[in-house]
Amino acid sequence: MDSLIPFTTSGSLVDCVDSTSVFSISLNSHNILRKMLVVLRDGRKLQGVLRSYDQFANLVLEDTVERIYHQNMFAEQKCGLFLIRGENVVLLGEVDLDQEDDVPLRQVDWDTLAAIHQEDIVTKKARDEFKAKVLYEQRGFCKEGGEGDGY
Amino acid sequence: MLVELKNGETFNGHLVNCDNFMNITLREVYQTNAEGDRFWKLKECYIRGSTIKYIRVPDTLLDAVKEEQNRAREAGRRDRGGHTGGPGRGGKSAVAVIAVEAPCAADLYEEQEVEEGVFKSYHGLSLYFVVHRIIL
Repeated sequence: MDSLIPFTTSGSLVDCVDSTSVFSISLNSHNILRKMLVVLRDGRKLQGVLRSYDQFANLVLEDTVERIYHQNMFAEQKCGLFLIRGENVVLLGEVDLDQEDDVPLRQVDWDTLAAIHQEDIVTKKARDEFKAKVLYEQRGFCKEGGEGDGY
Repeated sequence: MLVELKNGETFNGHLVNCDNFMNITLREVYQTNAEGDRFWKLKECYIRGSTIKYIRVPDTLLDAVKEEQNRAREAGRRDRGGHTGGPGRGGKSAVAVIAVEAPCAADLYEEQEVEEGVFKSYHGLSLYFVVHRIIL
């Protein structure tokens, strides 16, 4: 019966929820917390411990960290406890903690990267708008719903 | 708590009420626009759930919720512990077989609810199981 759980729609999420007590520092081997990556529709990438979810895919993320990337650099910002409304979630995935240390990016501080990141967003938005315009006019694609598709 | 809407506006305030649609009312609210350059102070505001992107909440809230759940469970257990009324409906229930009696007369016993127990009989086997419903 256990083997069927990964195949049900949200059954696989059950495995990703970490409901261990926050303040009990027990010395068992399951001390490692699973970090989950959430990408939102506005393009934000959050990492945190998934504490719960529901039928709308609303998520509770603890010790959330927001990351921004630019070329070979990244920056982090601690954001605390989040309740994310499900419709704003693009994807949810488990972070492989072993491979996480092998990431070939170097960390810089948030304020330096923030400005560059904003520029990145603006250029990407302009590029995507232009692309959509060309596709619509020349190839007959339909226009995308503009709101909240920053990812 | 901080509420960010889909359009990027943020609302900082104290939660007064909420419902199943995530519609919320806040008091003593500081509203900021998406760019972060304009501010408003509102005594109270109502936010429709469908416009919310996410809600940021104090880190200590999870612990507080856990405490409250434990306390509610303790209170519930204490109230239901005595010989008062029938079995409660709340929470999960586990069925445990307490005793299997020796074969007795093969009369068909009706299903009875006795305090927290249910008598069932399996006519053919002429055994009866005493089942107590345990509320977890």
